[in-house]
Amino acid sequence: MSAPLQEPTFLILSALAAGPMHGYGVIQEVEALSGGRVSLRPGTLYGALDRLSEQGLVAQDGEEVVDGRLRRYYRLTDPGATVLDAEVQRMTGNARAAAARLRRRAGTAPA
Amino acid sequence: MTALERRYRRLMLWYPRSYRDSRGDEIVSTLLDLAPPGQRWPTAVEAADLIEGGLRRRLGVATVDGLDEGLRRAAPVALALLGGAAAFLWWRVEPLGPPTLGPAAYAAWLLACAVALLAPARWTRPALATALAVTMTLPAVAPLTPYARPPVWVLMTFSVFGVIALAGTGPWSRDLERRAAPALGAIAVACGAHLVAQAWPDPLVGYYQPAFAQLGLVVAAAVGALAALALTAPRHDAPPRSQLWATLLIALPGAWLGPFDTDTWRATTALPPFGRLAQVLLGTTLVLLTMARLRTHRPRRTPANADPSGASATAPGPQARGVAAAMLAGCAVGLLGFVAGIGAVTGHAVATVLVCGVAAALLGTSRAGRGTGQRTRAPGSGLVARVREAGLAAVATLAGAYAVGVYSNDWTFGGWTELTRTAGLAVSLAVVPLAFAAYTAYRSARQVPVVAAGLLCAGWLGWLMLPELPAWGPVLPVLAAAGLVRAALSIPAWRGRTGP
Repeated sequence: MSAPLQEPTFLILSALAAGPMHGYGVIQEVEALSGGRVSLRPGTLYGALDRLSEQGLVAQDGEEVVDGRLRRYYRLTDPGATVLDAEVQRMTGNARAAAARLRRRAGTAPA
Repeated sequence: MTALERRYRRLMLWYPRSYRDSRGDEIVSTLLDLAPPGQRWPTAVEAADLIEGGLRRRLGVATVDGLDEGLRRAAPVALALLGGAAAFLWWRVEPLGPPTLGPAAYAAWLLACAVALLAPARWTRPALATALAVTMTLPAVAPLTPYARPPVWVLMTFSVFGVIALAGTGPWSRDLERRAAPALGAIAVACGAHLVAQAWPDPLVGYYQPAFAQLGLVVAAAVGALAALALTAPRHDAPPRSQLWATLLIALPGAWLGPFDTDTWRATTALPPFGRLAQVLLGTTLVLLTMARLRTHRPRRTPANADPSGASATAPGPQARGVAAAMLAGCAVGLLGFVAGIGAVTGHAVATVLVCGVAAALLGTSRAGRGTGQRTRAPGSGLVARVREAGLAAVATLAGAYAVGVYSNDWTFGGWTELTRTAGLAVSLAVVPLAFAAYTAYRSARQVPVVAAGLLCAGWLGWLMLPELPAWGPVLPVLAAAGLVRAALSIPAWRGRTGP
């Protein structure tokens, strides 16, 4: 696997993991997932979606017009799910190792 | 359509038309969904976001593999170089000559380093944008004050490093190491430049001239370090593409920093000495061509990214050769018009115009010869586009040559006296189409006219530039050395796989 994913990329893929979503939905979901820390701007979001589409990690999934506004949906592809899963494994491994160290420290440190 | 939607749509004009047609409605819809009730104007952050997205699209760098990560890697290096160069120029160079407005920009960049170190992360980008704005407005402000502006090339170098620092810095929080890196790097750069100045054969007595080359050595060291990181990266199982992008991004403005006037092998009085202009043209062209190579070079293709809509990375075809031919022809016409217009038709200028013309004809005929069998589109459409490109190139060359004339005649707009020298300098503009054509020919199919055109262009480039080798900026030899080391490293790896 290549380098770790950038946080915005990771959050966009995570947002789409639950099911297809349109751009506005992705922005809201990324904000919720990050606890309000990362708020994507549309120019940045669509730039990222273009790049992820070109890499085959996300794909378009239908569109609809609501109140005269175009909503195009995106879904996570199978290669996208694989990349996200690999990243989750990496992060889980790191977190587990760090937690184990912390527990050991708590065991040895004077009370 | 509401006023807000109309204003969003106006901002969307920063994107190319084809992209607006496919994505515009969707992006505007998302912006309108995000806007709170009652909002009538786009916010500054929204405007900046759309302008940045549109420019990235127009420049064709929106989806380049590794460029974003490369920008993120290059940004702290660029900020460190800016801070260190600012401190060095302010405290070591400014006191030597008549005072300039430079310290305003230098203070702004040092402040940006301090903000990156100490302030909340969301302040870094505004601080960088402010410093960039101060730097870019100095030439306009200077005439209103009793002070001169710093040399144009200093401002240009600072501006491009500033754009890299701004584009590669996100609003996300960083750990202490990342916060401190630009400030610590700036101290190292300033100390390095000071040491180089101390060891310089001629002591630092003049104004900006030797300081420029001294800074160039420090930037070359940074480029060398980045290149070394890129070369060792594959062993850490990470794709080196982003490191290579970071190296080239820093090398782009870095290649402009070299000695000004040096003794060269050539001893003709007809030609102007190899100046800053030729150096900047050569450095920019070589680094941009390397970037083009990196952009199209894909060692592996997974099925996932074999997307038909993606910009496919293949060798340039007849179209690229047609563009190169149009650029050469336009440049030849523009240069001839300029030197005839100022009444300085030198042998040097005529020879360059002839080389451009012959190379354009060779590239143009190769295209026609290939296209006859497989022409599918309307036969005239390509020709119309080429003629338009040639016209644009001619106008751009004329405008560029006039700008060179203004620059080389002490910023006067007419009544020039050093006409031969001006013509010689203007002719160096041909470096750009010549290098592009040589590169296109090198990457194209092997046909006799194409090879001949490539050799002609490369040969004339060599004649124009190689005798001035001692005056090249120190970044270019470092980049060339990195390329050679990369090539040398790949040999044992290849042998190792075939061994027992």
